[in-house]
Amino acid sequence: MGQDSDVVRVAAALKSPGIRYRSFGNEPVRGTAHPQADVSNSFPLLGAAIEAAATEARSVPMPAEPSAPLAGGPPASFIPLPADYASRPSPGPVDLSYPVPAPAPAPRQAEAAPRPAPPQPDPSIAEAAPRPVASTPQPVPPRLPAGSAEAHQHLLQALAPPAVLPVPAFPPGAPPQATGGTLAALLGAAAQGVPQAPWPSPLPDSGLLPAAQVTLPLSEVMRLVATGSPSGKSPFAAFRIAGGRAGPQ
Amino acid sequence: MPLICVAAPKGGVGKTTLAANLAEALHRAGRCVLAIDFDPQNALRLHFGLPVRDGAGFVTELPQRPDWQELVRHTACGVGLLPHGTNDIHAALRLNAALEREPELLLAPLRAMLADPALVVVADLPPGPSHPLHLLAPIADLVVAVLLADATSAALVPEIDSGRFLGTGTMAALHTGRVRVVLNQVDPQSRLSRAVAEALARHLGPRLLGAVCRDEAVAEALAAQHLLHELAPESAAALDIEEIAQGIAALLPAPAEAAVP
Repeated sequence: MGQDSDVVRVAAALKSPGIRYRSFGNEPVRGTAHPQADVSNSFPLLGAAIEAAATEARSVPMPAEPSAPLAGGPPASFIPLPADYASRPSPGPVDLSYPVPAPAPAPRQAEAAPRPAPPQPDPSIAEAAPRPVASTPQPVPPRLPAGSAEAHQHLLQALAPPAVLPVPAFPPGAPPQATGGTLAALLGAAAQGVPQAPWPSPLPDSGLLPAAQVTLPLSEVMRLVATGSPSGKSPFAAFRIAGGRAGPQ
Repeated sequence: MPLICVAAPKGGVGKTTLAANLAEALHRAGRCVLAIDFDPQNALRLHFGLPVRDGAGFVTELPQRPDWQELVRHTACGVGLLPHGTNDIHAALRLNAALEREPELLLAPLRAMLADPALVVVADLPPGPSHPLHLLAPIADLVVAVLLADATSAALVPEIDSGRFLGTGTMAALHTGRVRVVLNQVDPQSRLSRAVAEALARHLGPRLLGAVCRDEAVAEALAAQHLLHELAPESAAALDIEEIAQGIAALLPAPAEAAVP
């Protein structure tokens, strides 16, 4: 304990070995362990990272002169743009295509002889190897006019159910089931259908629910078609938006 | 044999953390797993307990066409690990140009690793569009796209839907079918996080592979250089990741089936 060494030092200085420490019931001022040591013991990555960074800093020589302060105007090498810069014509789009190196010129002796056909690449490699990025045409997303309604669409409104879901790449195997935890809570909240007030889901004006929001099994609809609905409603009522435009019965 | 790419249209979403913990969970589920770090941040190794100063990796050796089998590190949890390696900016740019000229520098050794039918490869990719993602997406069995339950991630969902995220041109629709999304750091206490997560769940439907709740234990596990299951196996995030690993395992062929040519 820290206070023990203090008492020993005081006893030695006063040449009074009989001095003993008494706490009188008070909490010791000094802690039993340094909190910093606990943290570094629990998280060794922190200590290792700081040590590694310090080693790197020692290996890199510091600049002879202190760097110029960031505040207080542009650096001395700053050259202001010319006054007519804004009115200058644009140099045009930048060519981002990958420069293909020019083939090396063949030696003169070989020009007379017919060139052998280049070896064909292994078909398996040619199929698997994708083309270089620059040669793959990418669809450019359209720019919306500033005044259009779509341009002002709310961020989360853009996340309406997609019209066509991509075909899953894994036909065999059961889809992952949420057994509990965050995903189950999330799916449960999402399955309640009605989104939170600030981000209402855009509904189509056709009077029909999106397919993803229809909860009645198709077999039940077929049964209602065959036997008739006991409530007198249309068998297809489950497909319609409540309060929406009435469709054919 | 299966290749699982863990990618993200933006950085800072916990992609590497998820990749490391998914690899470990798949290993505990009885799979032989190799985790490969394609991200120049070279952070995957830290989750598996490698020292900060250990900067060795396969990328620095790539121009010499090394045998990747010899570079695999054996970790305490049993997952094989190929760290990216520490690289400076000039070497990284040169390597990028070399990969653009000759994609086989990367693809040939990866295909050699994938030839092992019992092996599951979990690839941690750099955030955003990247050369490794462009090369690996066409041969991946599953691309796990990690998003946060925030507005920026929501704004990037069209990039995933359209296939622009994978950068696969006219094959985008095909590759998009292999994409599953994981929502990370979902905070049930946050109104915005909840709203975004619910909107994404409705939008993604079956493409939502799982959700991981915000949990301090995740960050503490990395700081302690342990995987989450080692440090806090009963934490909420650990259970969420376990569930995602089960979902992935259900999508993959069973190990016995994988041995059949």
